[in-house]
Amino acid sequence: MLDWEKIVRDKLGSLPMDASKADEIVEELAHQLEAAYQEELARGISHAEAARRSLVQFQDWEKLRREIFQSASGARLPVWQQKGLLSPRRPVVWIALAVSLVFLALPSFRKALHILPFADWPDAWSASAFSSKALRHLEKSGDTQKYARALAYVALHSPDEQQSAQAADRAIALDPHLTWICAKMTRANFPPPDYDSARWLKRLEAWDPDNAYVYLLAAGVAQTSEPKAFTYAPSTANLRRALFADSRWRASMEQAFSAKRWDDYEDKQFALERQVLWENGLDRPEKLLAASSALPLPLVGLLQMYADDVAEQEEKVGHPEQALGVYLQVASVAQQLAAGSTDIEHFAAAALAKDSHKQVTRVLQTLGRNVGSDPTALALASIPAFDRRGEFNRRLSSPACRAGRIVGFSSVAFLSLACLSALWLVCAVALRFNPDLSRVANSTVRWLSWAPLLLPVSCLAVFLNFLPYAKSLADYPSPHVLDESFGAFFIGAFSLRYSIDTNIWIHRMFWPAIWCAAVCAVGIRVLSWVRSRREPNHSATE
Amino acid sequence: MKKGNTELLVLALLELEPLHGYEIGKLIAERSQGVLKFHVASLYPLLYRLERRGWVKGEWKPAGGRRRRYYRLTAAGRKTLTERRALWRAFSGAINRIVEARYA
Repeated sequence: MLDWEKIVRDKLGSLPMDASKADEIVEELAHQLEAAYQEELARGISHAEAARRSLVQFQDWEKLRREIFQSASGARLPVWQQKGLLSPRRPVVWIALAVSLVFLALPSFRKALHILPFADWPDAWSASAFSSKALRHLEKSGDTQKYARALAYVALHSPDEQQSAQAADRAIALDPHLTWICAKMTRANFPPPDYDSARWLKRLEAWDPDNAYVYLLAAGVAQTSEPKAFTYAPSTANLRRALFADSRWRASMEQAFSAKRWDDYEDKQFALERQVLWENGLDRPEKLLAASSALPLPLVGLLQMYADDVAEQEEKVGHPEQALGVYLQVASVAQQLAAGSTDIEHFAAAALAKDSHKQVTRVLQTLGRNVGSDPTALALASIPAFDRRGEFNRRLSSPACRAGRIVGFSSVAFLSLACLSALWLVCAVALRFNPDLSRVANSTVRWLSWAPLLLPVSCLAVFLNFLPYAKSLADYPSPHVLDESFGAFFIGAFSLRYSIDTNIWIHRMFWPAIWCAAVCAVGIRVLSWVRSRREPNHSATE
Repeated sequence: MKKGNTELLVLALLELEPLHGYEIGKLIAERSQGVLKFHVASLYPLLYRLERRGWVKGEWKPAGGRRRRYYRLTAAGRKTLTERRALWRAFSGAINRIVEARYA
């Protein structure tokens, strides 16, 4: 004889309600099973098969338990009483949270989180890895220890032009080899009214007189001081006339053309940034990558404009050979640029060569000479072409960029899941000590129970995809290596926020979406409360 | 079946006489001639919900040498049944008028 009440009690488990009511429910369900069992026996079925067929009526006992509790009490079964896979009673949820904490303890994982794509852009991509306060501290320690490189770093990255200028003066006084930082001082971001760019230019020219970069900077300063410079497009005749009328600009351009070499101090800056970041415990390649924009880049296109104008003048006065000589100088500058390490330099070199080659071809045809054997044409043709779009697309389709995208998406998922898991944890712990705390907390734990389980998945995605790029600053010997190996990854990581496809949504719709979700959640709660108020009184009488 | 419809079925069965859970399940299957399949796992939560709302009342009564829990309709349940039945008639009548229009 089967003890159906025992079977029901074993399968159903405890019901957290009045004991007599729970016993009545067990007895009633046992009657149901027994009646079905007896009916099967009456049909001539064996005892074992009859018992099996009877039990089939209640396949999901945990679901039955939840529904009975909810129907009988009007409230959801407390989460700590639930036995499902996602119940906080199950160790799997806590193991998942523990695994996530282990990930957080890994330095490589924390490093990946530092470059989260939802981090504020100025913070993640700013020219400085230090806050204003940290920069002041760096300046102070540089002064105390007479450490020129720290002061030079402050000069390059302080948003305060006055602080920047004073730090530059002291750094150069301590170590004249750092005079190249004057390049940054020639173009202040927010110059005060009495800011004197010329002082820094003179200093730089005296220190590095053979560098075309320095004279192009000087030409740029002359251009920006032209009152109407910003109202002209760079190629308009008005701007050309205005600039050619400016003796300072012309002198700077002539010196740029006759300079022996091109050095935009990128390698020097890179070495300085890397050392200072490393010494201050900021082993962050993305900060080093971002810092590369500290020094101004002169308008290399001015070279073309200048060359075209000078060559045109020579042609007008009947000196086409001199015009070709001008373009030969352009080829020399372009070759120096092409030897640089950045894409911008390669792009500028290729653009100069391409535009000049057209002019040279025209002049040579006028002279009736063979383009293929002319030294100027050959020199210009030797500059390698640069496919800017192709280069960008190559990076976008590279494995590094793909890994960056995955890290970007995964880190957003990680942050969202971490917030939800924290909410789940708070509610679950509160309900553990006070099961009757609130229905909202109970529902929150129930609905968010998947978040702690998914959290380690997002951690794993971030970690595995970032691992090949979790390198130290010491692993990047040059800006070129950093740009090639880490740059593409960084582009991918930030593409979530800044790519054409997604930047509008993420940038503008993230917080509105969060607000909408919050309003919806409150609305659903209000509606369910109104519905519960409309239900008939439980104590309705006959 | 929708939740409201199953409630109507159970209330309608209990209108005639008090019944216990097993009988309710059997009667639904029998009277619908097997068309309506009612999962027993859904029946008891439904009965407890109706009881909590005050539409039915469960009472233990002796039956065949042991006790069984019989459910009977309350006044509130009868009122609800009247309302639901009227709604059902209106609904099924409207459907019939459309579906059977050609054969009327």
